[in-house]
Amino acid sequence: MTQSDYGRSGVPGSVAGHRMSRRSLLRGAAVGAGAVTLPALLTACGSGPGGDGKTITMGSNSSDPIPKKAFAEAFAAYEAQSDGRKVKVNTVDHNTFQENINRYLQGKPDDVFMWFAGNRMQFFAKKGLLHEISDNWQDYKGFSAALKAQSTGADGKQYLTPYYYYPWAVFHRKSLFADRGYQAPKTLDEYVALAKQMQKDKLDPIAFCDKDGWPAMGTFDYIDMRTNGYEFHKSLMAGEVAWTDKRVREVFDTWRRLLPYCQQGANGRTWQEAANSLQKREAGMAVFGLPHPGAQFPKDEQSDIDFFPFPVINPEHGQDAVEAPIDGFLLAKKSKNLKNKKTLESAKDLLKWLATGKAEDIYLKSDPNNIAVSDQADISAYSPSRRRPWIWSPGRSRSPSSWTATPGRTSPPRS
Amino acid sequence: MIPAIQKFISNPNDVDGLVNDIERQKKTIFAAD
Repeated sequence: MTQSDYGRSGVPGSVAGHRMSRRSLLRGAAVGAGAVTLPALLTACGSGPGGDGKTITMGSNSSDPIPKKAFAEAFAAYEAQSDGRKVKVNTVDHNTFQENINRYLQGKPDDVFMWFAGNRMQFFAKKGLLHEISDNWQDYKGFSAALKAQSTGADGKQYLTPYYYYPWAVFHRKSLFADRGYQAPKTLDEYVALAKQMQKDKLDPIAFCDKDGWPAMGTFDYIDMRTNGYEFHKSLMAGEVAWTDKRVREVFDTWRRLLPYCQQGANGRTWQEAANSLQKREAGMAVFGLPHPGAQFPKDEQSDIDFFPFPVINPEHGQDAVEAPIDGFLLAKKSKNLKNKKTLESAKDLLKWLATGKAEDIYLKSDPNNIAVSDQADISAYSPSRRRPWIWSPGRSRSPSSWTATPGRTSPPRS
Repeated sequence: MIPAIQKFISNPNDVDGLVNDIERQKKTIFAAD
């Protein structure tokens, strides 16, 4: 996901350490204390140019009900502990936000916006559309070196405050597998054999969707990483390898082999509909990120969600790489309000608060389908499946994602 | 990238056309930097 070499560390070292205790945190009270640098007159300008210095506008792509509510709770908690600062959220439909991000950041963006770490962030940093927050990072505690690398632009400066991440895997229902005697496949051949059996059992073996434009990319990334390895995938995403390379053709040939076992009509199906078919036992498996099935299963069925790592294709590469995008917060350079130093200080103060374990805890309490990035966050409430070694262990590779590389609908992948 | 993948999903037989299409798009964008 990034040009910076964050090594082969698959998950943030911060969480890989399995820290179960929460430290007592020092936050909030001290930050922003020196922020009042503008004449008091400006604070009376209300919503005029530069804003009122205390209101921070937030561009949110979290339009789905669960994350939307969870963010609202986190921002309310921030407001409660801040000295009169307000977060004004501007929520845009998730896919619309993604597709318009380029125009948004070059037009009239909010002060803070939600986006992704790694290459997707670096793309905009390079274009000069982000505010550097290296000073914030000097005070951040609880983030691993890998996370810092993911939040750093090609110029070595920090631009992103990470909030949570979510591994991708092959999801299924525990009870369905138990009832039918299915075993989680380890290799591609076993995956295909299981899919064939599911077809015999009148199931759609693999729930499949791409109406949203991004869900199928997860499958592409995994087939590439399992076939050609993490380093190759990174080079492909960086534009260093031609898509016409025979190794890329091999990826599509393998994918073609899987398509007969995927739900037909995927281009007309949303991720919610695909996840629903898994929930209704119409489909047997689905390649998703942790939040996706989680959002579509009722509460009393959450514990039936299970998953296994995408199967081995080339034993040389095993199952080393884990696709695990990191979401976070950034400051938009073109925000007019941020030209007011006081508003800029307020926005940075919000980011400092969001960088704490407590802020992550508040969010994850309402949206437990993600994993905290801070080692100050309380992970004791995680279900056992979320503590599996292949998700947590260092030594795994975090993937540069093909869709993470697409700032807009028509853009090709980049590093 | 996204339309190319969607096209592949509905017609997976033209891998040649697909990879050439994506490579062409990539060159355009990288050249625009």
